[in-house]
Amino acid sequence: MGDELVQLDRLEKQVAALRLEGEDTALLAQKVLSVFDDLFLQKLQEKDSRTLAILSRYIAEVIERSAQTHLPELSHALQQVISPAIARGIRENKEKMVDALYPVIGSLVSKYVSQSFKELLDRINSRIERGLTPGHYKRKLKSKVTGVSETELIMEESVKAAVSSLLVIHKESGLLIAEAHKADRAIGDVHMVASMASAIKDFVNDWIRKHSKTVSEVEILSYGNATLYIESAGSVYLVAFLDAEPDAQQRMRINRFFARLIEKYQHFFQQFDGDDSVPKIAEVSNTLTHFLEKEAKRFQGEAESPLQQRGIKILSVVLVILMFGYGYRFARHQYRAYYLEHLVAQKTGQHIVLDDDGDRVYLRGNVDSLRAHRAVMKLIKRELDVPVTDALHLPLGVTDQLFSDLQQKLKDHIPGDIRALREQLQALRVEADTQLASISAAMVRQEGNRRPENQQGIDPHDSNLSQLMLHMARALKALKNLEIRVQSLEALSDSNRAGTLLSPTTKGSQGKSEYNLESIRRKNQTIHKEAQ
Amino acid sequence: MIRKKVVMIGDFGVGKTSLIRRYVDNAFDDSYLATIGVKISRKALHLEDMECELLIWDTEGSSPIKGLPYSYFKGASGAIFVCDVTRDETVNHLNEHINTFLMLNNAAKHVLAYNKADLLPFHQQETLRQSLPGNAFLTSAKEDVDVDLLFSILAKEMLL
Repeated sequence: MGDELVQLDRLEKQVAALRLEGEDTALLAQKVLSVFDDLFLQKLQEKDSRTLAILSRYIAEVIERSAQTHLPELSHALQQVISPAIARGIRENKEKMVDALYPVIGSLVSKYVSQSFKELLDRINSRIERGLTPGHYKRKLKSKVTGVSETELIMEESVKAAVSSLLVIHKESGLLIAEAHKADRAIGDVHMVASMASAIKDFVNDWIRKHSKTVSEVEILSYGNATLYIESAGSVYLVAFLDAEPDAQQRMRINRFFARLIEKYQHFFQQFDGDDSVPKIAEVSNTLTHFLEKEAKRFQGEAESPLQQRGIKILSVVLVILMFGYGYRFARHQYRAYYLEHLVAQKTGQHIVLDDDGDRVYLRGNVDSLRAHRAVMKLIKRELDVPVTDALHLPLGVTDQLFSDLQQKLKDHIPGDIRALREQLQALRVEADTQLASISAAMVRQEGNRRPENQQGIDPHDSNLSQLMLHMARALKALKNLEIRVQSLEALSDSNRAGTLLSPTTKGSQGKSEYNLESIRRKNQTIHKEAQ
Repeated sequence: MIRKKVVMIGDFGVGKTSLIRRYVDNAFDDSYLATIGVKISRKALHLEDMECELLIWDTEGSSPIKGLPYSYFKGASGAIFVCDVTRDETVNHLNEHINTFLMLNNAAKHVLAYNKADLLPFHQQETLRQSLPGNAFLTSAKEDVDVDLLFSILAKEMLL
């Protein structure tokens, strides 16, 4: 009984102790905490639905509250998770990620590309709009010589670098001495940029010297669309900020400008101590600005040197004068041709075409008849004092009719003419014989009366004899002409009989060109055949 | 305005970047991020009605063995040599850093920063402070002890 009481008492004390522990939350928490992690892990591993429900309910709230109260810590923690998570998401659910990102990134890329194309198109358009510039003709010539299309050359020119800023930086300290910027391209915190450019340049130079054992300077730094062209001198260096890498010509221009700057301000640059309130700083900055403006104009294709400008002006004036002169001459010839065409049409009713090249007039087209042709030619020759090339066509019927008329004429008249001429020829021969006899008699008489001292023969001053000799000469000349005429008529008659009329080069008895009817007839026949 | 280049020189992890951050931004971060290459900060200040600006080159930690980034030292008007009072070797390297720097810039001014003073017991701080030369300061970027003073003294040395 006693033992039982003792046990009961002990139990009562234990119960009391347990009650006290239960009321002591700190002690309770300490005890629970030691096993909480294990229990919680066990619950998670078992995927206990109640535990997961509690967690999913509160986890979003916890993150949201953390974002409000401990944003830096939360972002730091998530930063380590998000990048691998995205990488895994892309690897495992590529399409979903693309779908999620496309509306954002796609529009961004599209916007960037559109903007870039717009800028490029603006540049090309502005170059095309300024078509009548020396650059335009230079490009055309270059395209012809090199075989590269003009469009490609324009594209190449369009992506050329424009200088947006110029900085003159003290070489050792990296302190900015002077600066100039295009109106819309000012650099924020330019002194920091100058120092950083200097640091990067020093770093690269050190690295190159350490690894290649050569002494050289970094010239180009590029990042995205920005390019820094660096040209170093003794105590300073120039940094040109460009949109793209400069070509050789642009580098040369920058280097020449920098050399002039160094030459002028070298003592000032050497003694620069960081004080930018000295007046020379403003002077250098103005020089930089001036160069920048000049470059901008050159980039827009407007700037030329004064000598070039003068040359271009003189050339333009000469070209205008030449073009005006040529235009006037051309217009005058055109007007003359137009006027004559209308005059011919008005006077003869023939519609011909005149081509006037200034030195010669070509007549083309058809005329109705030979008579009309004669009238046209007469009119044209009266109005013009330049050679005329007759390429007018006569209708086939006209030439045929003309040909048969001529044949008939020859048949009807030539034999009669030949007879009459032969009679004339006979009469002339008789007259010539008579005259010859008279001259012989006169000469005999004169021989008888000649004094012994006169040994020179016939006296040419004898009037009777002179008259007789003159008659004789005239008779012989007439006889000769008549003989020629008779021969030509006989030949014409023979040709007519043989069916071949005058050859193309034959001239008439009076030495004038006659119509080559045979050739005209053949030509017209050919034309009509072709027309059919 | 007058601008001057100031270089921070010292071994790795002595607190160069922290000193600049305290001076320029009045901020401090316990986490250590090594500086690679160089980082440039600037600070405008008035000195006896004179407008001036310090361009502070925070160079990466160096040691005589690793070698110093000489090209960053060139053209500096002033330098701050920094050591960690809890690391003797960083203190021992100071003289070598100073000599190297002055060989390149013999006209430049310089001050010394015995940094991380907050890690020393108070009595040791006082003892050390009293033993330092005139151009040396016991500093703490963490607790903002004499950081402004360090830079101001150097600026006056350079500009006045």
